[in-house]
Amino acid sequence: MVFSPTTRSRVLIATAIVVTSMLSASSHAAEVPLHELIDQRIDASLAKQKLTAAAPASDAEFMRRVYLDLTGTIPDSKTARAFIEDVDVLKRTKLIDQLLASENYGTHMATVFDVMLMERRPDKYVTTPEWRTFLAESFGANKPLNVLVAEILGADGVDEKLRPAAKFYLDRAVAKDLLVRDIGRLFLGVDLQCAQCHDHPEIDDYLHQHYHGLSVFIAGSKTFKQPDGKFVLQEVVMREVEFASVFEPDKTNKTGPRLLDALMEVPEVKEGEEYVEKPSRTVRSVPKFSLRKLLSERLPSKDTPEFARSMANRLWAMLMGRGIVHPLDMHHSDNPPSHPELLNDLAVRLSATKYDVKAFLRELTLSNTYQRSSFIPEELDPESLPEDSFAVANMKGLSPEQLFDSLLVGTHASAVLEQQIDEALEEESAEVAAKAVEKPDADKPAPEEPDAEKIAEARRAKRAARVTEFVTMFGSVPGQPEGEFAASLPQALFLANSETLSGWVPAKLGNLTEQLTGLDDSTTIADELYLSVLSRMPEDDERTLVKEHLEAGKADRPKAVAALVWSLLASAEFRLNH
Amino acid sequence: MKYDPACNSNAHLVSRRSMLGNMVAGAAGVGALGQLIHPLVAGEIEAKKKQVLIFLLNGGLSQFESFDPKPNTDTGGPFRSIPTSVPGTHFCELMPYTAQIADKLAVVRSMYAERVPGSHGGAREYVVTGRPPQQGPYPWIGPVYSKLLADNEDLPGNIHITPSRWGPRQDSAFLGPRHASLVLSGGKPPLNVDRPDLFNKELDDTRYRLRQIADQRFSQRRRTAHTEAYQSSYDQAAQLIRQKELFDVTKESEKDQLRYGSHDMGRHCLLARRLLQKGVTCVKVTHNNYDSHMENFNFHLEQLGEFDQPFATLMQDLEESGQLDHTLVMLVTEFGRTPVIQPDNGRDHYQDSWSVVLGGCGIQTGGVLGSTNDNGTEIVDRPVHVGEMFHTYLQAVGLDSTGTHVVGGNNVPIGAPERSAVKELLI
Repeated sequence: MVFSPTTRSRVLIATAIVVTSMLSASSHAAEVPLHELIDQRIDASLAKQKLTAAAPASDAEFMRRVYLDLTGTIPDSKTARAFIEDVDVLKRTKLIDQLLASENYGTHMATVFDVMLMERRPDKYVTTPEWRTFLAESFGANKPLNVLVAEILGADGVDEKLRPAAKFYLDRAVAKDLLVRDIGRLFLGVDLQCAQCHDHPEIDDYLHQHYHGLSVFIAGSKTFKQPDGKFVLQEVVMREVEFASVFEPDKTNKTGPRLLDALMEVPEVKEGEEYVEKPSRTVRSVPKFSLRKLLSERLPSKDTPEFARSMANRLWAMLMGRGIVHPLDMHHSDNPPSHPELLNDLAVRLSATKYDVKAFLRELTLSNTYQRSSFIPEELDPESLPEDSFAVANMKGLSPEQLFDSLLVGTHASAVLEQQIDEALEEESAEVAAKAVEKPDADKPAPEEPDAEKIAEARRAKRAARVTEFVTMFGSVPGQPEGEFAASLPQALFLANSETLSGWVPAKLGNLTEQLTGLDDSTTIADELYLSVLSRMPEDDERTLVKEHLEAGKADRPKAVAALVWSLLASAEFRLNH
Repeated sequence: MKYDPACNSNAHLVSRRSMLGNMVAGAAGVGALGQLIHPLVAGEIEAKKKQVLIFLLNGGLSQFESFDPKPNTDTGGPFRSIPTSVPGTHFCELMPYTAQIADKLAVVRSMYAERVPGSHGGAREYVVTGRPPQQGPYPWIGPVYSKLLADNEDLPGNIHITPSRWGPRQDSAFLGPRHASLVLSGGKPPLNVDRPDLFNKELDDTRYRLRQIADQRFSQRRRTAHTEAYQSSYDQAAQLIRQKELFDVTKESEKDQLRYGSHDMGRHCLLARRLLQKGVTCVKVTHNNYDSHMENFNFHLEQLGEFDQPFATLMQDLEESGQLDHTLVMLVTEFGRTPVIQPDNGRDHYQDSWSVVLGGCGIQTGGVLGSTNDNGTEIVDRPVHVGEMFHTYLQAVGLDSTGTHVVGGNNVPIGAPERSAVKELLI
């Protein structure tokens, strides 16, 4: 029997969380473009708090920010100069559209969503490159966000095309408690961990039954090792779970699958007819009615308003440096959104546009709120200005990947990196050769000449290893969300002295230091330096500083230039997306 | 399906996430969290001169083969016990040097903890944070000392000497990376402490100066939490590069190098002495390979053979130099080992009872607290929980472990609030 979707009715529609009622109340908002609506809401709250908004960001400040936010890297100096000098009044809008259409948009969003959804866990069954390629293609093609999330939540890892989507489950080893917590946090904006053993002790909205209702969807799922050695998901029939509060261990409760307060009905299936493939040791068990499939249909949909709300909040935080609900997974009545109406507008628009991420990000980046300077106006006290006022652009630390790519662009060091990779590969093959001489293995055939594909693969791996260095140094602990910007001694030592970066700075292979050393005029040098590293023109006093420094260091011009280049790479202005 | 909670604590406290959730949403400028944790409460100023030396025996030191021997019993194993400098107290014969300085130590033979998820990692976290890992992450004790005793120092407040490669780890949790352990893998200087060939001493100063000028300009009328934290990380780096010889144990006299021994543990103990002498607030030395599921006796013979002499030598040196008066010494391990001896001479993990040793600053030494029964299967006197010890470690150096860290306007208890210090151990 194939289960008919019409019987899947939502038993309990009333929800304790206000979102549902708010969703319908704001249909008038549809007439105004979202970016205007954002500014209306934020301006109104600034007026209420008697706060002055910062001035609009300069072209250079806006450009650097939007490049980092949408493509994950700073622009090169030529692009930066062209944009700054462009007199077209529509140039900001055009740039946004250009970046959203670029290839780098997809790869950057893949990194952002990989880090968000996998939190830098080590690979288990699906590799990061496979998963990132899947994400990059999805975002590049602007796959609706609900469709993407449905693919992730419905994945079984069997279908080759969608196998990478199964990483969310498989690389968590389909561990139920971890998945319940992460599905709640990442897709619904609620961290139910403390509701695992009882109603949440401090947060009235998070109930014991929410946790267990969510757990029903995945309680029947686990890994299955196929004959080809590949791990996939299998599922046994599950209808409900029993649970008891640790405070009242004798009082057993039951729940069927529920998304917070919405309880779902599971169809009755005749005993003995529940399975397409019955559970056995050798065959992947497949029930006729899959709760994971139900989850993938009902969570990323209008039926679950928390989904649009949580996703809108996450995308907002990615650009604005802070969620309207903050922390992002702590939506509850004791931690209300800073701008409830705005959050509602964002959620409504996201779902009304069929979860069109590009359109959504376009509207956010078009807003004055996004395009403000991070420079705090005289009228405001920097120390007491709340971050959730959005009066001033919030500064964000560059992610490890943004930092790596931006350092590489800023130093014009692609050729140097290629050489570093060559050297590492040569060193490696020399070691292998030395070992072979030392300990000849008669049974082993002589190594084949590596083909172009293998060489390219080895090069990609070496490059990835360099990025990993940055991730280890600047990224969050595996299994934890990226934290706020913070700086540490090992990081400073790394930026000052590590082999990777100190290879990129000295004059070599046409990199920035070499280019600048070849220039005569100190003003030209200063302009090119600041455009390359900080994506802006230098001020007069900065030109003077460059001139004086070069004078003092004229005995060894390349070194004097290298010191200048490093000083800007290591500056807070570079380290932060401001 | 009956539900079986993975988290086996029914006394949930703050998880990091729920803690963050309780923060006032509009708390002023949550930037680098470390910046926001307020200076300590009064009464702790005096504690600022205190130092701490932590020995972490990784894998689970057997209490039977060290501080709680049970010779001639079914669980005791092949080794004898020997008298120590404290009349009536015996150690295992594998620790002859430590036995001679027993009067400088306080031995707790009745440590226990609940089983927690995560095997070694989880149990270790319980011991060094005083909280079960599933409530965490909480800061490890080294970062806590760094925060409370060395917040404004130029030297790193918390240095970790480890035999194996140990990448940077955020063991400081919400105290921020400023207080994370500076790791000396294999006892070598920290990574990236050598300046690149390109920049000699003079040019190095120049590039830092130019960097600072850029930052001063940028941070005017911008949020300072971010920029200050960033600036201070470079200040620390510049300091450290200048004091690189701090990590160079070959600068110690040849005689001392001989006294401590040329193996890793010897060198690491001497390095620890050097760091403490130079004023580093908290030094942790890790010694590995105590996880003896097989060949427990051979493993302990070998590991304690390395550990015993340099440990005792370091204790004696610290006493002679007067440093022991203001230096707390802790010898901890994640759990003990089972009384039952497996057929392959192994002992498994045991959290029902094991031993911990303290010495130095603030500690009542020369005694034993708590005891186990004749064959060490259970505690018979004064059980001491790991959460109580966490309070004790802090109070020994004059810190108020019942106080709070202030994180983004939210109070987080320093030690687990349902536990308190072991008064019998404190002076």
